[in-house]
Amino acid sequence: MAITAGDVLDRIQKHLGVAWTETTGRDTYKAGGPATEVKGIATTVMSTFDQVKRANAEGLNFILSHETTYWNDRDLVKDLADDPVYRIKSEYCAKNNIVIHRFHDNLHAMRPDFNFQALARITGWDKYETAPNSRRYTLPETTLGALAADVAKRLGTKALRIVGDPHAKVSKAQMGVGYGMPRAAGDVDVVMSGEAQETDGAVDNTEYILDAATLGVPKGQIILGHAVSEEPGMEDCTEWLRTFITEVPVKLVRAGEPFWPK
Amino acid sequence: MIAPGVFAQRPAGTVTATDIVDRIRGKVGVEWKPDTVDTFKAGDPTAAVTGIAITTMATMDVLKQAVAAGANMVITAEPTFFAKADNPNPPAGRGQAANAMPDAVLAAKKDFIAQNGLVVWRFSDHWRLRKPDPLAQGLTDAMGWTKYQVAGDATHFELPAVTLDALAGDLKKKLGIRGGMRVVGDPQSEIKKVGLLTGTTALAASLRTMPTVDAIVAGEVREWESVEYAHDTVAAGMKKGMILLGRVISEEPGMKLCATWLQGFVSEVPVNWIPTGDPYWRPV
Repeated sequence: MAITAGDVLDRIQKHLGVAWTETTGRDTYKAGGPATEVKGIATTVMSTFDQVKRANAEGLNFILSHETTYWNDRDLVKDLADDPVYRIKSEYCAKNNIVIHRFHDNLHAMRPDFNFQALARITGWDKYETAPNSRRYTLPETTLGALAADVAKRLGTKALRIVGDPHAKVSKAQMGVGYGMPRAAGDVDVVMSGEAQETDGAVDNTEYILDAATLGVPKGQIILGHAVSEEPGMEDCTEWLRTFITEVPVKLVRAGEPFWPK
Repeated sequence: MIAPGVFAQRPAGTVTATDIVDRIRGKVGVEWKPDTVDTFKAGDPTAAVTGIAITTMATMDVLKQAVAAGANMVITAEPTFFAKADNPNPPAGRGQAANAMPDAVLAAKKDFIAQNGLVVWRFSDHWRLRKPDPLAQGLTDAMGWTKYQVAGDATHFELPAVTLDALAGDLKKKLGIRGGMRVVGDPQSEIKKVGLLTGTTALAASLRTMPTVDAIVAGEVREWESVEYAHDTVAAGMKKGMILLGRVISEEPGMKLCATWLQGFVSEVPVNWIPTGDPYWRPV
């Protein structure tokens, strides 16, 4: 039986468990539209051009992407009309009948939030969470260096960045995902998330933790990379979609870490 | 590190921190604007200056080095109190109770500043507006790229052909990067034309620069913006790349240049540059 992109969205909204919202302009179509027949669904953390091509090669023409397609939060394309990369990517999508829909705000509104759930499970932090959905963990005491090495190994990430004394003893951890980095001040030893502005923001953890290290106060910040921090959750999202979409294949097609360390 | 006593070798003049700022305002060549971050963040602006330490970010480590060297005025490009607002008495923030215990790190930093009579002044908004761009100029010099500069353009370069990997390795070494460097693109791509984006930049800067170069060397960009734009550029078949240095690292040579510039019109007290260093490391 044929299923359209619109049908897929209807079912997602029905199974979400919270009221669907698209008032921010995030969770909308970025390529194609509701009438397109879906051959297969590729979930991903980021609909990068490389990811879109790999999904298409597997016959998956509906991409459910947690993050943006055209490099800005609202996926505004007004200023991109003359950009060569925009032209190549958008023409590829049109020519190959690709549908891209973002799934961001609504995924984070779900409980549990797939991205927190999966990151906690893969890092092994889940069994130490102090209360459900608190994203706060009392880890067995370790050093910042050992913790960072363990997390890097479990996630297979290479370009992560750490701030703080590697020998600092840490136990109380607060986890974020994506661009949401918890603040390092207060009753917490180590914070971990995807991405954080280095300095000159609302909360500058980096300078705070450098100062903590100089003063001998044990603090640390683990910056995993935005995609790395949220990709595991899209695996959980894929399992969830399979419970109510059975007509077509549903598969995680990873975006992967966009950069390499040097 | 600056050897202790370097500042103390010369007698202190009678110049105040306010005098220094007034001189900077007169020399910077940029109209002084209201409502910028370029204000005093700590200490007494009327205090007599014994020496000036210029840095990218006034961390505790930098402040200690300044004190050890006898300087009591610190000029920093970035905040001192862990936020753009730079408030030494911040209101209780998200997730913190209003009656939360005083923060030990903040309290210790404030105490250190008070006990050592330090005056901290931020110099960022106006310094960045100066022409030619001093941050680009400083970084260019530190990378040894002055001879490759495209005439009349402080941010574009024509290098002898080099692979993206070798270029990243060279910059890591020259700029003293510890663990903060990240690179997008095929390591073997041949790079000649390079565009420079210091500090933290938005997507628009990358959109403007990438079509005319083989690689962008940037301080800090957002991952879902410029990083993925560079990633998609490569996926679209273009042999290009992006090297991310880190915001602080990208601004360090520009602040070294600021120290040299200040020495040209401050002769009563010593002026020295104290690097902040790469904030990051990564597990091996």
